[in-house]
Amino acid sequence: MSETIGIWCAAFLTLAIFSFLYKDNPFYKFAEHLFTGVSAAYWMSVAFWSQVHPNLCGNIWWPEAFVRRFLEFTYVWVDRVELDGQTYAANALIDGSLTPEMIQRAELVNHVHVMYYIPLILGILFFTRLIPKIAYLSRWPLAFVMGMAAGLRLYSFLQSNAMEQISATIAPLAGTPTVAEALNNLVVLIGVFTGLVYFYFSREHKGLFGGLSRVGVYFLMVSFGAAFGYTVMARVSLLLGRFQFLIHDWLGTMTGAGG
Amino acid sequence: MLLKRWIPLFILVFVGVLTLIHWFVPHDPIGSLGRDFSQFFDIIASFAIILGAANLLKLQSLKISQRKKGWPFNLVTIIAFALTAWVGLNWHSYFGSGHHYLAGTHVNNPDSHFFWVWWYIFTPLSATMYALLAFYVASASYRAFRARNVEATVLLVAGIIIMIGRVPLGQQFTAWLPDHGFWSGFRLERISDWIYSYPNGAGQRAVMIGIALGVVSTSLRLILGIEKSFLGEE
Repeated sequence: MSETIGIWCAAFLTLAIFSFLYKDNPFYKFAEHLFTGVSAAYWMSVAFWSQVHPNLCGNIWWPEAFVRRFLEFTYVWVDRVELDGQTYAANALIDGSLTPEMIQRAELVNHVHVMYYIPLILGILFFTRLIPKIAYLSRWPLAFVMGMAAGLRLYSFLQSNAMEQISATIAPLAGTPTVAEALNNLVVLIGVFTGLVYFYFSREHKGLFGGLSRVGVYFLMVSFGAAFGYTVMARVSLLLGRFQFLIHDWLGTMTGAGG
Repeated sequence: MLLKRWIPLFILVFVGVLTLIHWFVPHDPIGSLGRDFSQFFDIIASFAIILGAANLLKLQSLKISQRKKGWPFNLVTIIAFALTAWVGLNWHSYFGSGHHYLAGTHVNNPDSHFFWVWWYIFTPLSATMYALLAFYVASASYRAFRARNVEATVLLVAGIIIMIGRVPLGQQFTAWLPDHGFWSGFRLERISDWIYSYPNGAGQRAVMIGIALGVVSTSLRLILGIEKSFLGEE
């Protein structure tokens, strides 16, 4: 039953979005606003269950009564279990190796990682943005995120996107490829070099430099053309997917052929 | 000034330098601190997503309270948000009874209400939104692919060959050419592959290197405290 309702719901929303091809209308507006609300809550829930619950909640202090209250649903708040001088891993709480009576008697040990109060406090400080008077405090978590991103990206981009790409451009030339491979590698070298010349803005693009830059533009245009071609194909593929859903799944529920 | 400027600047420089050092000093305590910070980053980013949702609710509520044009649609957003958040955060929310699953597993469990919302509302809406772009891409293609100069012609030819060479119907145009030997290189799918692997690869690589140099210089400016635009300063 829930599946049939779901298919009708999905079909209505699909047609509501497609109705925009005619013109902006209340059905499209309804679907658009529904999408905004659903996707915000969807990503919020996913972020909570994939990051905040296991990584943050599992590393900060909780009252034991509280941990025991929710023990049947989550054990991420427990590091290990101690009972009658024996130590068990936290998943013993759910894998059946401990009876409910044993769990009641057991001591639940959780190592509180004081450091994890930092993301908790910084995360809460993000919400000061909603209070204009103290909104400047939201710069603190922002500073953390930017500092972290800068430190991570500086090295990783230099390594993978610059050094390794340069190496992958030059290294094949040193081998003993066939004539065709050598020519192809030369095309790549010329393309990368002239493309980079185009991105060098500290010198006026004229004379030999301008000529090289122009060749670089052609290579970049081929890239943009390929990217555009792939984007068109991906969108058309999605469109076919939606038509397939409407014809097979939705109409199928009426004729009994699909679903 | 201290709270508004110097503390965030200190946090940025401290975290940036420490994260950078952890690449070169994998030993504790720097190594473990770097790994912890990496997890903090994910946790704080999750809070940012939750803040985004809160901000959305604030703006929608404002429009409703001011009875702005189309306010009933803003109500739809709030109701959709509230219902999805309820089934998303409530780990007991399943079809039928007698389910006993660990908290958080309902996100990927086909029996949960949250999965239903994802499968029958979120997925069709997002897929159709992107599919709708296929029509607009068609008109954009017309404008972009008009061969007004050499650069546009190169883009046009590359785009068309890539598209035609990747679909069975397009490949039929040159199906009469042999499968092997010199002339096989002129089959559309081969030309498409060659363009994709070499001239396109070269262009992409140049862009990647350019982006990398840009990221490195911006990161350095941030870590050295030169770039302060996030503080609202020039």
